[in-house]
Amino acid sequence: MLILNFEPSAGERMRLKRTRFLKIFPLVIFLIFIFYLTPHPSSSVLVKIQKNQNLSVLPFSASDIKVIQELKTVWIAEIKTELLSKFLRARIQGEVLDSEPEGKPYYLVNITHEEQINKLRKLGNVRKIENHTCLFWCARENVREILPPEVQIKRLPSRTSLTLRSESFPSAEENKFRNFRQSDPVILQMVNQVSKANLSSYILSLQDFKTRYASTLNCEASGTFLYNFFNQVGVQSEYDPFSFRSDYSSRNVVATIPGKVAPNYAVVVGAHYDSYSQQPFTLAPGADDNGSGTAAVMEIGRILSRYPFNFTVKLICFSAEEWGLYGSQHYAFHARQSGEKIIAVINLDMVAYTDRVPEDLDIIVNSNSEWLADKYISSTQTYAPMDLLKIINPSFVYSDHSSFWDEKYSALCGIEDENPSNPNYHKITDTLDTLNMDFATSVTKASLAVAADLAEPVSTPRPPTGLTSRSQVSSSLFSSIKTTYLSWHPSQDEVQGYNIYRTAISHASYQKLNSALLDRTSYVDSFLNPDTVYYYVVTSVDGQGRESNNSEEVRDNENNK
Amino acid sequence: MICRKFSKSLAAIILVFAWTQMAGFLRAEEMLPRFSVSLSAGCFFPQQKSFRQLYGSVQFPLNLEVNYVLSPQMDLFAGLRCLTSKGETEIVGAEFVPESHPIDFSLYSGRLGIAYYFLRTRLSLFMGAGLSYNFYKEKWEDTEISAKDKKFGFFAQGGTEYSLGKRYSFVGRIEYSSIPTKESSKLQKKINLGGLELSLGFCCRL
Repeated sequence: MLILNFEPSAGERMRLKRTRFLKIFPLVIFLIFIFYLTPHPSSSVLVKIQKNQNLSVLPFSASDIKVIQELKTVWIAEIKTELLSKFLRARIQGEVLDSEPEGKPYYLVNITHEEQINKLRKLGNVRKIENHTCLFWCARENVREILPPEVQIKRLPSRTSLTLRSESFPSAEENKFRNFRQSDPVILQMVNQVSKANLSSYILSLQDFKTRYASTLNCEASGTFLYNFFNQVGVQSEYDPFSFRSDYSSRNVVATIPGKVAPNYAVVVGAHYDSYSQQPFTLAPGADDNGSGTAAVMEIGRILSRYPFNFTVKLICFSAEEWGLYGSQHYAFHARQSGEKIIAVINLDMVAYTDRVPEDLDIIVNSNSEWLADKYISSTQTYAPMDLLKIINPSFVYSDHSSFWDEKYSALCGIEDENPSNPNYHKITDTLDTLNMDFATSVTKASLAVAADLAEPVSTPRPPTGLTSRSQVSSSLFSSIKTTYLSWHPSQDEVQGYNIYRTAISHASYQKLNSALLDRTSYVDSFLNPDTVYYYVVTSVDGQGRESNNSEEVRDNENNK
Repeated sequence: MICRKFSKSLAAIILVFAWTQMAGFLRAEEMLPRFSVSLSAGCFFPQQKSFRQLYGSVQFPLNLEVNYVLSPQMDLFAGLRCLTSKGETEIVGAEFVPESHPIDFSLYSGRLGIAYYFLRTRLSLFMGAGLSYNFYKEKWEDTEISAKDKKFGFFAQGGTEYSLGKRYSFVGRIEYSSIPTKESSKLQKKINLGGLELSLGFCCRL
């Protein structure tokens, strides 16, 4: 019997392997190609959910829904794809707006008539959300420039603090600031300082930048102008830089008047300073939109800087509002993330055009901010009467207050009556000469009164006056000392006593010298270095322990001659 | 620095001079008692006006001195001087409110010098010079403020000695001293603690 034992050689084995690999390789490549060509289901979908339904029992966890916009009748949210079937089975009234939302910039667009929807369809994807609200997105990044100038837009935030639950905000902790105080003569004094001439001058200065379209150098220059302005009037300001789109950056200007009693609570008065027109890169004077609101914030800052408040006042000029609220979205998001306690936001946007006299100011709020509209109305009636119209409309999301709504802060938008709207809106003809500065002055007075009322002027005794200081040097053979003799006029208010403060750096780093309140109006500061110049201020303290502002500062030898 | 160099030179001269005088003395026929101790008190008039303003025009120091006779004309002496005083601070510049602080001053000096006697009779005349090492302290009584330091100084003196017998004598002396410091204050730049001193004392030969 012949047995043939076939054992391939090593070279033969290699050849067989290579042949097998060459047969399999094209198959693998083909499968990979097919895999990439096959459309993948997105991990989430964009939906709108009707508000007028019982959502108390959801077929999934509320945290699985990322609410990115609340409007009057609907929420816009992202939900996970695998939950969509449950969502539909639960018969929740809603609609899938886009099945592949990842990374897409969506814009809410305000439409006034149906024809606009057809125009928008030619430019990109459109879904009607509500009567006057559409969702728009397209492949191009410069959405502001391709949309008609007359439409208002808001870029949908990619994240918010909103949920489907009906919550009231501010929180219970912040509710304590809703107290409605009685008339305060100090606020009246502030209101009377609002200057129409100043407002005109500010608007003219902003208009003179030719354009303040965010992304232009002129816009950044106007930001610098605002930064310098606040610093010049004594309000510490800082830039809040942010980037938008993929390649642009700009800065909010944030000026802060720190509160004396609870500085971690803030009242925000804001307005956007960027502008837009048909020729945004060369000419967008934006006197009404929004030089007027910005001017009001400047004037409010100038006046409030002179007074102490219980709570912090923040004067914020936002940028890139016209691009879709980028500046305020950046600020509000980070405020919420950092736990900033904002009592209320007063956003002023277009407050100087009137089609009739007297004109009324629309106060637009969402339902959770209704208290703020009531506060605005009551404070205005007390200190700076004017016609106001309260409108509760969560769908009015086309200005910076909306960014704060998204982060569950109470905010309102003060805006001129819309019917008819300013014919120069987003046009190169939006200039100072078309504005009614009496109306702008009234709005500024009202807003100042509300801001001051919310921030609560510190009710303290007046600071002592007539502080004088003389110093003399005593010397032995080897050592010398300086002694300062201070005296001041008795306070005209009922005070418990006085505090004396000293510093070696003028207007900074004061240190209290007395351990107990002084009941006399003089003080001797001894054993000082004769080679150092010292500066002093005195304050008065009332029976409730409230301390006045500092008196005028004096140098130690101020009255030696 | 200059003062220190000068002091060292002066000390060297004194030592050389004393050595030569000692040699002559050993050859002298009539031997004198070698040691004497004197105690004197006097009136010190500070040279700087600021010192006088603070502590008064006249101070009263005490001197204890030991003399060693090197030769009939030459004595080597070493001593201690003590001056304490109380005063009040002064206002420098404009004064609006009367203000003064009590102050204490003390000066302790160790001294080494040489005296040359022109004649040694019942009434002797001498002149001398030497170095002093001075400890001074000024303190404000109502505060913690104080200043203290150590400084070299020098002095020159002339005087007379009236012998009451073989052992005892009266000594009268006039002396100028200089104790420069590098300190200064609003009242005085370049403080010098020296001045003129008149003193009278009693001397006992051992």
